[in-house]
Amino acid sequence: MSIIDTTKAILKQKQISQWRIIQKISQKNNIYLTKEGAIENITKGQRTDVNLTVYKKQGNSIGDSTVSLISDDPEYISKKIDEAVFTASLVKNPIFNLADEEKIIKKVKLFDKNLRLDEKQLLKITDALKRETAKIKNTKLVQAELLTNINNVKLITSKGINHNIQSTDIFFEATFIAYKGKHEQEHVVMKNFRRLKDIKPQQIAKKYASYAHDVLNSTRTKHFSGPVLLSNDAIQEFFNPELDVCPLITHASARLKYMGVARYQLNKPIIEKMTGDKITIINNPLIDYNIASQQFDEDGIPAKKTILIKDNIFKSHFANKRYADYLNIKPTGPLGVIEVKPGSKSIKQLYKSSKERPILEIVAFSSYSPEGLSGNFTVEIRLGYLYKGKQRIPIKGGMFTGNIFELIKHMHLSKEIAEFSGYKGPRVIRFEQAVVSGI
Amino acid sequence: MSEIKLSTKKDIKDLKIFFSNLIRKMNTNLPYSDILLIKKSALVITKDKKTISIDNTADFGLKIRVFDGEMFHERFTSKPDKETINSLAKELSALPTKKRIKIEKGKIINKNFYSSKKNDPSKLSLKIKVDTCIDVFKRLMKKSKRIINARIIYKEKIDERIFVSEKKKLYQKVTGCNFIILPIIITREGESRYHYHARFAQGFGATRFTNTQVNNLVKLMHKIIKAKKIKPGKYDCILHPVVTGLLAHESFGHGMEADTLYKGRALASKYLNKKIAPSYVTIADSPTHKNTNGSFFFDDEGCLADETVMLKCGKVNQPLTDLYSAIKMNIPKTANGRCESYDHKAYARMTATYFKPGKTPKSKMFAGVKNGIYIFGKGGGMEDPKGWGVQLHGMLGQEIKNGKLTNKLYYGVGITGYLPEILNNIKAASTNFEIPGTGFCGKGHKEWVNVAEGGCYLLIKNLELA
Repeated sequence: MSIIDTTKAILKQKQISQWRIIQKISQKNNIYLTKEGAIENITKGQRTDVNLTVYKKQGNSIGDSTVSLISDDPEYISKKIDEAVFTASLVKNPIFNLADEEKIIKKVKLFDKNLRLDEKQLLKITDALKRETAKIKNTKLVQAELLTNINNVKLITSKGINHNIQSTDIFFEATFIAYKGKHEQEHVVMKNFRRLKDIKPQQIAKKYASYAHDVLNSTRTKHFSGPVLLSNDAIQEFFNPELDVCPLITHASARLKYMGVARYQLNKPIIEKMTGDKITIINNPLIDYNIASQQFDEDGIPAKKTILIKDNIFKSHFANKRYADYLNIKPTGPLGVIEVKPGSKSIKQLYKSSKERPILEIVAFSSYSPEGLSGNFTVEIRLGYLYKGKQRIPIKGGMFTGNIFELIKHMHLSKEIAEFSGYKGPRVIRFEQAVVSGI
Repeated sequence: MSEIKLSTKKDIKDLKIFFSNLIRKMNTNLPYSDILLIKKSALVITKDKKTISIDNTADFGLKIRVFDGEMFHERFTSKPDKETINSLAKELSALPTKKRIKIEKGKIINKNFYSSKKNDPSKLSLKIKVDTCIDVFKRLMKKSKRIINARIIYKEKIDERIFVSEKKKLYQKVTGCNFIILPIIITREGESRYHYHARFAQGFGATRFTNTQVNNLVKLMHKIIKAKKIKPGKYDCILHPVVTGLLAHESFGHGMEADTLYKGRALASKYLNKKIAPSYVTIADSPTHKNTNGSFFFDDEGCLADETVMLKCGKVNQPLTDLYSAIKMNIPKTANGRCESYDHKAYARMTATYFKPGKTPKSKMFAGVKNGIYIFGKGGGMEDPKGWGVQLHGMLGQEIKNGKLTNKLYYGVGITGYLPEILNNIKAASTNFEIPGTGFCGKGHKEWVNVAEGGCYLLIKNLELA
């Protein structure tokens, strides 16, 4: 009997009527390369995570509690269920209902059928990366990691939801060092993919080795006040920070609204007195093979496209079932790719500069971690360029600082778009009145 | 299937014997092998204005690792029954040896370690823990109408590990409690702001939050409402230990991780045994400070906990090593081989990182500043080991005038600059010493481990703030 069947049987026996089980099985195959392309480590294995949530209605409130199940021993599971029921009895939250069964109509592709648990397949990619790097003068590849997962997620609830989804994900990291005599500088690239074929060693080596060379030839950033452009990895991180949610999205959350700290109001502008492009943001979890795409959320609500902000007007919250019930709105399913509509200017127009009015472009941050509520941020520049007419000077260091809600008041977005992990939208964003603190 | 258990001392002893037998078999063919079993559980209570949640998470698994003379091979499972473990060991035993080298030397150590039982949270009922969170929440909200919401997070962790190699048979049970208080206010302009107040202790004492402390936090929140963004520029600054620890961790510590040094990714490799800071500046890392997040008795590669002095009296000293980089660089192994979990490899990682105390009393340090900024509060940062660039952000700044703190507060303060310049601008290190910082550290954006930060107060001239 599987752990899910055992758990279901015990729940039935204990007459627990509201529950959810999520099981995730991941088969992992990781390869780690060190300097000169030597293999440092190959790690393989399988992990299974099972989480059970039980819900307990008590008068005008509901309690819920989640426990992890790390053994399929029925006695252990029975004890954990009792623990969850007891814990749920101490939780008294406003009533919400579990999601009803809803058929998944729009399917999203998340699975690479060509990905195998075979290090030879991964070594082909790292070998190609080594070859491509070797072709670039004064450049070395000193480290790479390819971490692959083949996942199977099963979500079942007492309301009859029974979803099963297979997905794959690949984390890729590489460090390129550029050198000139004794001087060296590096650039680290970290990317997430769904498919192996989307990892292009030639393009990666070329682009990020050139970044390492630009860092090597860079000067320290000086104080700058004026137009700042974000492109490449920086624009992706701006809309989809690695460790946080972009504050522009955070304030669209139903949970924040319920907590009374959201700044957006329905059908009202998100920003007053805008002079540039008006922003449109869509939550789209249905873009095939994007790492942020998902088929359903933790409640089993199928993924759908939701317009959050249209032309600067807040149109809808994103909400799981609990907070949707609290706000009396429909749940939107999972948060996915942040899709931003293109703007009014061409890239050429956005890069316009002169000696008298220079512009500063940031292509990579060290780590962009904005404050979710206030929108304040301070982030170090890993690589950027100062443009003075035809002159392009690579810069490094210093802090790009400001408040997102202030910056977007005077912003232009490019007509040209690109798709990254977790972000699809303009290739370039230009803030007309921005500040960079130099060193 | 014969599931393995960790309930009694006999279970632990039996497991050590079982693992030792497997190690012996694997070592007949291979130069080195080890086994790491991890069992973790956490109780998390979160309370805010409208909701409360209580969850119990757990993780249990094992990894077996062999070294073939050139590289490591690892196999892991979340189903650590004896049959699965035997099968993984058998698979690894069949791997060919590429080079015969001796890795483990010294005596056999067979020991069990336990955290202090003082204020043991496992002896308290869940209701007491929930009521404690609700009580702190209520006292905080009652004190000020301007605080529109707050989150109180209680996290109780139990971490058990068994490590067995040819020479080591180790078990540890480490407990810890994190208590986080996060009040939220809205400025007159409609901007939401919060302050992150976090504390850690091995026992339930982490939750002790007196009325005076509540009052102080509320007063600070009222100042945060009016706080401005600082004008970017150079300032004379005094840094609180939570900030000096962050500086030690992000800007120096990451660059002293030997796996980074070995790959030629850290500028520190060119400065080993060279002076980069004044002689009163010493930076160390140690998992031995009991009431700090991430403390332990041995690391995930069986190295017993000890302090590693990375910067000694201004000179770049000893790197933090994982086993692979220690072998390759032929340098001592330190207690810094850590993995996020059994399905991750170990890297060279920090634990509690700090500036060691100096000779200047804190009061004298403040008295010497005519115009300056006092930097405090929990922030974040990012490493740049190759460039020694500094990025710390999200802290608070308070104006110092003629040696005294004024009411002028700055919100979201960042520190930037070039590390050797900043270190050389340290004019004094305080006699006061504490390690209050508690949080997580990633290698890049992954491989999360618990860490702590702290040390002494530092007076730094011409610090670039943004």
